[in-house]
Amino acid sequence: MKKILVRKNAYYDSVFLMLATKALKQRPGIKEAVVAMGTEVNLGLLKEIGLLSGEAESARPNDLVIAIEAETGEAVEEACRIAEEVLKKKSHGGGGEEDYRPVSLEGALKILPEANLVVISVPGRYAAREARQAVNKGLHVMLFSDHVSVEEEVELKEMALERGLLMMGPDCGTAILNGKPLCFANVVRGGSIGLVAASGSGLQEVSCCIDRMGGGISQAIGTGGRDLQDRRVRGRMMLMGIEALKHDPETRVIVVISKPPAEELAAKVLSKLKDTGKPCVVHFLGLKPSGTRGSMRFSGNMEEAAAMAVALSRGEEYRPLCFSLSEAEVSRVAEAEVKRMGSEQRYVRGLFAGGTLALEAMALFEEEGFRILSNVQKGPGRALHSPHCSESHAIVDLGDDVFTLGRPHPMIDPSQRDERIAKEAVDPETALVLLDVVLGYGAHEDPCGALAESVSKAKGQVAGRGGYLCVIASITGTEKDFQNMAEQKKKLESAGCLVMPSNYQASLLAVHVMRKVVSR
Amino acid sequence: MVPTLVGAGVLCLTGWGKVVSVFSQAVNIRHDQGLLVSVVGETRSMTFLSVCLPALFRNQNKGPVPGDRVRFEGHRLVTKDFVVEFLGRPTWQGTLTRDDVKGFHASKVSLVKEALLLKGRDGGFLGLLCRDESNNPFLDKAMKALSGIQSAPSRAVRLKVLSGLVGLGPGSTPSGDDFIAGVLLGQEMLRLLLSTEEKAVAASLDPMIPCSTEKEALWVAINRTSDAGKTLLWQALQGHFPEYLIEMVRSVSDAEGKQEIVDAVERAVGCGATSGTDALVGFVFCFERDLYDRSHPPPLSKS
Repeated sequence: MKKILVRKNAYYDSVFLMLATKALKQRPGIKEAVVAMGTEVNLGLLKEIGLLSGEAESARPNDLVIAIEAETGEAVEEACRIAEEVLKKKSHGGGGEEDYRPVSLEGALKILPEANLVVISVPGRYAAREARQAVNKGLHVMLFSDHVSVEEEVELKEMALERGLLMMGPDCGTAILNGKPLCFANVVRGGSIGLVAASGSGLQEVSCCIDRMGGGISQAIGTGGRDLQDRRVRGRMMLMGIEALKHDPETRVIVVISKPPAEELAAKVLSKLKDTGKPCVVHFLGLKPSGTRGSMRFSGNMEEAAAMAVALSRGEEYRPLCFSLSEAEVSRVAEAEVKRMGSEQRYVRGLFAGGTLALEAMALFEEEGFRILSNVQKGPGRALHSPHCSESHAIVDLGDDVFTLGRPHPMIDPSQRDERIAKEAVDPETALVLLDVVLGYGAHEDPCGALAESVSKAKGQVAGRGGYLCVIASITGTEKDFQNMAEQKKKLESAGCLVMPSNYQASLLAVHVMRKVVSR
Repeated sequence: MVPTLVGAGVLCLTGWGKVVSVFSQAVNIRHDQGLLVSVVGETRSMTFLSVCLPALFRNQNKGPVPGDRVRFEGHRLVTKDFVVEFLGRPTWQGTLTRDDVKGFHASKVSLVKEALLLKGRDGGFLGLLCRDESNNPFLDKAMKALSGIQSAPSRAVRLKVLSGLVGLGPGSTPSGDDFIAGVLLGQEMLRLLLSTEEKAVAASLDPMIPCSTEKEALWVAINRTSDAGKTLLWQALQGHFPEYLIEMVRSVSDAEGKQEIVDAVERAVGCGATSGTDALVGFVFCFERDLYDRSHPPPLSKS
């Protein structure tokens, strides 16, 4: 069965067209899918392979032609429906035959006047202007865009504070407000734990761990990564978020997640938390916990932060987190993995989609005395010479700007990580590859499917030269995420990955294996 | 349509256009008669028909949005919110100089090719280098077309073969157009090398398509492709290339080691979906005499 769609005078960027082609080709039952401009030579080719008919024959060079051949009529129709949907979503400027899509905030408010929050995702240069307009109209803002200056961030947050509005971001990728997931968020159970986080993947990891442990989320507020990091921003939104959770009747426990803030900002945050009168959990990434202070508990990792919050929400005593494998099992697994490796295999290579997840793994390795090089490390002897090339022990944040310029984020398009895994497999010194997978809204529809394929190939390649590649991964997600957590896990395991229930545990297992590697 | 590059690359266009995409450092405008004009914030982003205007990206209150109508008035571009004066603004040059190519030599072509096989992106014409014909009908067609170029009896026939690739392949700039731009870049390099003391180097590179200004077949063919492809080829035929390709040539020429070449290729293939890769495949093609002689095994395997 064949079908041709033509979009007249359509302009889409090449990266998008490539992703659309890939998405169609991966559909079950699809034999061939071609997405190309209707140039003379392309049309000639489609004719040669029997994929040209009807309307498509009159396509012009600026028309987009989508040709699909499938095993059944249903598969063709489904692929066409998906193609139409994807192209419609991406459409710029509105063609005559399309639904009205507002191109301005004013236009959007005309069709949804009751809206009280706006998600802004436009190029950074325009983002502050849009956010300013939104705040002036009395709207809460989730500012997904990055490349907004600190000065503008301070101005916007001041404006929002004066009006009692949230200004989440810039560079805020995830939030859950009144049960509504925004941007990259997971489907988590509702409950009494409120989160404020200056870290997108950190917020996702903690909220998913809470869900797995049986707890629930009341609100999850993102602040943007600079909120506590940059002294000029002075934690304005973190403090406002805590204040909001203080007054939220659903929230009984508050969790704060951030990279280590400046000392005076940390003091402000702790004071604000104390002022809420609610039990709180604080996780400042990379800092060791200092136990309990009044109603505040300090966690050493993100999974522990979740466990502490769940215990507090139930009025139970927190019992220190147990590794899901016993000591003997860990030792057995590590022994078995290392035994098959070649003598020259000696380095860990972490390839992460989530920045905070990468930092957590890095902190854990460094605690254990490993010197880790990374694209997100600063300072002499800590930064990779090239982010595109691993050396020694390395952990790479593939979501960093250097990798996403002109390409989708690895949570959306896993192909960049696939390429990097292949590259690590070529390096005879690679012993272990550590991975994260993030599920949820906005993320790739089958991230582990793609990953499993590249892991299998990489393992095969290393085995072909007499070695063994250990691959350890964690999945940030819930059973209710549309990607189907159980199936995703199964795919990774069938490719020979050791899949752990959290990023912390995956990193810890990796540390155990690497200890064995270096002690050989 | 009579768009021209006046003097040192001053853009002169008349008629109407529409803003088709807006990025943090670039606004792309499609001229109604089929060329893409970009207003960019940084000179390093310049490509095709570009005008560098950082002020446009600093002004938070009057940014263009997709769908805005634009009027071209010779050396001016006018929308309801702003006017861009091209005169006096840096316009994209995209040209190579002798200095850019003086460190280039034959062995570097092989290293570019090797790096391309390692770093290049699938989906376009990369398979021309490793003869991977799987699941890409465009690639198969390109291979068939190019396999005949060796035996072409004359330059005119070779150019005709090459012009058959115009508009072929996926992408808003079809892969064939990027490939040809790469071939033309290679020719431009050779022209420059032949005019310097490096003649011996140029002779040893032995291009498939001899340097020539007679490119009528390609001039005619560019009307058969998309606006984005047409803009690219229209410029490349006049010796102007996207900045990322110019930067690649400079880096490879200056490179003292293999890793520098790998890095230069990696940066170039990062442009577009497969545009960078396809252009570099064309660049290598310009020099690789035996690449498409199917009676010989491939010179390099992908792995």
